[in-house]
Amino acid sequence: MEGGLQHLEAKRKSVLRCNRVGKCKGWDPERISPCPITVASGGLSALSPKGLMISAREILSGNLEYSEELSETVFKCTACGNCTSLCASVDFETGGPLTRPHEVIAAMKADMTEAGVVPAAVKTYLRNVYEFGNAYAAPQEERDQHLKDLSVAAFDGTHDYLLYIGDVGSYDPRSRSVVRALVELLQTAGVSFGVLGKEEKCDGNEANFLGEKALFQHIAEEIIELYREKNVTRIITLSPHAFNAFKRDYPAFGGGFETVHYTQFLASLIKDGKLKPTKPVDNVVTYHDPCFLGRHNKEYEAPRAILSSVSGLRFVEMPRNRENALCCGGGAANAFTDVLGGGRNRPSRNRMREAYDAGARVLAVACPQCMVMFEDAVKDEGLDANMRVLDITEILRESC
Amino acid sequence: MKTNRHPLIDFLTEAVGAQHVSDATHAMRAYAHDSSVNPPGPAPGVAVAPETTEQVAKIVGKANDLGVSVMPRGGGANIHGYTAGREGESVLLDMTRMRRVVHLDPVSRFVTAEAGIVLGELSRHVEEHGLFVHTVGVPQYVDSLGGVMSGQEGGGQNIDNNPNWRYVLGFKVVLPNGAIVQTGSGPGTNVNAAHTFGRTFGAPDATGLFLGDCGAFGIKTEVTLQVFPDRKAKRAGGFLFESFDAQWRAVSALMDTEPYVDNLYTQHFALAPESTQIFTAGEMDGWALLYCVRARDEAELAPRRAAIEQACRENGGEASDLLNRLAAENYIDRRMYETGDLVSAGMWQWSESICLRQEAPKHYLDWRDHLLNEVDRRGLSDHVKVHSFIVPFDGGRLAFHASNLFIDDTVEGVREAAYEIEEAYRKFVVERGCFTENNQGRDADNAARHWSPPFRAMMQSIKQAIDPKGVMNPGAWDNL
Repeated sequence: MEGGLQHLEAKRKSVLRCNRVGKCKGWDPERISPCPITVASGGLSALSPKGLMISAREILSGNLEYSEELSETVFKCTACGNCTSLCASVDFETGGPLTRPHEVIAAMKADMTEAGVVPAAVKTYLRNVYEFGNAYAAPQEERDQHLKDLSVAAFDGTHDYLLYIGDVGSYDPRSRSVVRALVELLQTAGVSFGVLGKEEKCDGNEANFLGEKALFQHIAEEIIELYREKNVTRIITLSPHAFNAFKRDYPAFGGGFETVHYTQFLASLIKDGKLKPTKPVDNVVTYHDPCFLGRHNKEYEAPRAILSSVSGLRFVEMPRNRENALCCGGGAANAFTDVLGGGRNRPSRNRMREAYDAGARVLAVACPQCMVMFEDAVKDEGLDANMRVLDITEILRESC
Repeated sequence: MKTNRHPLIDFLTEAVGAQHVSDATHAMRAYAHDSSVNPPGPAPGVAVAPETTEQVAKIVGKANDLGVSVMPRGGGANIHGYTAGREGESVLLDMTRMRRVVHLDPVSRFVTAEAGIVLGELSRHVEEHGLFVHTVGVPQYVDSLGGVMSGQEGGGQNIDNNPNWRYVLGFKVVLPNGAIVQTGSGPGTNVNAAHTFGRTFGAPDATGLFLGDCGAFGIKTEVTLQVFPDRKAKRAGGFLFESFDAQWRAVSALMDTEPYVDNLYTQHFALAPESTQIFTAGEMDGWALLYCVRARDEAELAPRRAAIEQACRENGGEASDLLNRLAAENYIDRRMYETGDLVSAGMWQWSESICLRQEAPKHYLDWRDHLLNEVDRRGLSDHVKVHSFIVPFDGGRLAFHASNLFIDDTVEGVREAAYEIEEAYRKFVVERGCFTENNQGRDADNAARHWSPPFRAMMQSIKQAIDPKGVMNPGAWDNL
């Protein structure tokens, strides 16, 4: 196999420090594991994060090589971060974590991507992002077609905020309606914002978590240059994935933008009295924490603050929430590639059952990729007559 | 890509479904490792995750027909050595899916659970019914019930009444020929019985044959254990002593005064100075005695606690807030065993030994010094920390010594050195006429090397009768 181990080598200490306890798998026999690849492993612990940490050790020791069959396991990881949250590898002196399995798995992906050892669906995804500027291989001109009647301004450097819509919000029909709701709320609150339309490009977060570091750097540098030209300083993102990329990874390439997720922004508008959710919403609602807003960026309260402000809404928590929330299965581009697979044990279906069992009749989301996954899941579970998947913007707009 | 398919892969796929079978190279390599510092063992040829005893029976029977070896795996801790087997050949049974509580009888006080359940989950389930089950002082969310029954059977979690084999009533076992056997006095020895009554009504104690057998006689799929009413009132604390002798006098006094017989939880851990330094970041220099006492209520608890404190003070112990906190974290929060924090900090390597309690002072300091010297001799004091403690168990009859090695295995060579240190320690203990705790992996081999010829002949006969083709976990007892 061509290529080296440079990305995994950078995680050597984390790999060696893993004591192979296996807490990363989750171990509650009465509930399904919070780790998507553990669920997909069919009870074979060697195919769980614990097994992959051992594989990483074996690779670093020269006893194992990257291979097509290893890539089939590694690329199932949705980068949800549950394994790292669960990891028992604690530095006894500092109390901090010593091992971050999802980062080790991401490093393995990076090495394999550089060597071209990736599943076919991943290759297709990355090619689309590179060639078309979006994961859908769709014309850039279609990005903001659904907003024409809303008189959304093109960002021209005089606006306070750039609204970054992202691929899913631009092309997925269901998510487009979420974007419209968000735009209407921002307009209601009198926010000065604009969009980039056909000049907007994929933020690259998924490419990054698929290990295509060169492509991610290329995307980041291109976007940073464009934003500088456009005088972008503050960004509102629809997707937590884009939020993660802009906030956490772009600064490494010189892109220090002030970035907020839309739930954080809407919560502040409500707090400032610029949005008044006074119309009653008579429903029982639960909220699914997106991995890239919650575990990766520790924002758990803004979405809940919005929902708690909505008149008449009865909020219920699912048993696993915030740091312990399940993954929808859409991360690391799995919403597009479906490398994970899973049938009835698909993460989104497990989560849908949890939501329903919690007594909710609306599953509120704050991520367009979660929306895509759950819209399928609610049908697959046969719950579409009893359960609705709504973005927080849609609930808020109904109340304002 | 593989060129040779395992001869059983199609059969296994048919038996349990394709998603529960793998022969991927990286998976097989992963199964060669356990959570110890031991070097990897033989990689199996194929792994399968059955869900039922019947599936296990089908798989084991077929493997036996073809002379293919079978190796069971529970939580993957195997802290005393890898699961054995034959490189590239063995069928590895990953018991992870078999983790249900089959039956809990709160009136007759027994629980039957599948072998793949981890101890912490079994305890949690039982405790939800106001009951208590004896497990072992191992990481509660790592070690599986079947793994513990096959190897580690000692104590630490509930010292006074351990070892926990006292509370095992019976097993459901799959024999090499695929037959399913129920041991204990239940449906196995009286076809009209619905549940296990005990160990020896109606037949000899066949359950004991499979306790600590490393899976060399059969695959345990279900375990039936006695359970007890839980004790809700609890206190933990610690005293510091100037010398080991003073500390041990206090421990001995507790054995004579503390009414441990009906107390399920009283524990007395005696920690060496370097252990207290590990846990308290170097703030203490002395011999610590930690205790935890439980009772039905505060009224019952108070005199027990007073007796412990009196015994400690009379023997020169000084109360310590730091040790009180440490004891509370350990016993009340069950941090050590339940969350695996200690394990996660590198304390995966155990070096234990067992002797009669009255001989403990003679052996303990030698054992501890042996380990400390081995670490020092190799110049590894900065990378290997010895956490040493001794504790009476089995109602005060025996003493259990453990020296746990905190290792910084990010430093090259430390892991291998820790392995050598522990290997030398085990030989040292057995050659002195004492025992290491376990019957698993290389520890089993270490034990078997010291068997008497008549005992060896008897064991060989049993093995030959049950497993004539030698397919069950070969290598676990090499001397057989």
